[in-house]
Amino acid sequence: MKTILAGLLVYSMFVLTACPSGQTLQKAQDASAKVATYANSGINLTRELYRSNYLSLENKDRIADGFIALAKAGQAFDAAVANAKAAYGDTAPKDAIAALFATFNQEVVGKFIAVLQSLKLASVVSGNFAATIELLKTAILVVAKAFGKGGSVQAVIVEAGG
Amino acid sequence: MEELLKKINLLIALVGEAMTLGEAKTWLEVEENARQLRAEGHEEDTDETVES
Repeated sequence: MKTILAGLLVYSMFVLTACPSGQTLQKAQDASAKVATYANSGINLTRELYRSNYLSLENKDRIADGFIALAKAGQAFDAAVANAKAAYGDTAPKDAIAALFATFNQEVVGKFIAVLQSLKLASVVSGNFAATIELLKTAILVVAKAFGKGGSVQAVIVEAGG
Repeated sequence: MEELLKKINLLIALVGEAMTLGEAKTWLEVEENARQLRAEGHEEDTDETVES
């Protein structure tokens, strides 16, 4: 698990600076795919914490349920992007992009941050485990900002307790 | 944004190890992995169900 995240953050920083300024549906797809990969890392981290007795069975189950809900939200988001792509091609009207970004923030980023926050509170984590959770949270924030370029991401983080 | 980048740099320094990006996953694969995680520790329950 420790082997995942610094490169991930460097990659995110690259994305942040390399993305074109235009909002495209491809960008939405890319953001979703990145967060899915981070979510998978979060699941693997949770598994590691559970197997190392840092996390109880009950809490592991609750957090796994959170990840399942997140994965379903991610699939729903991808479906919404695909629908928009079918309707508009790659570049959708600003309103459609704004709606997708709001959904992404609420249903994907918000849920993910909330699950990570639960994980942090439920487990007796320290050292690299705690740092890894923070890294994941930051990476998600970076991706969300790269997609949205808006100020609403921080509000989602706060709302989710992050 | 500067604050965010400072935070990233700080976190990288905290972890202090070379890391690589995890293998790309779809949301469907993520759900499957999450369900496997959910099932961990409940294997005996499953065995009982199969036996009955």
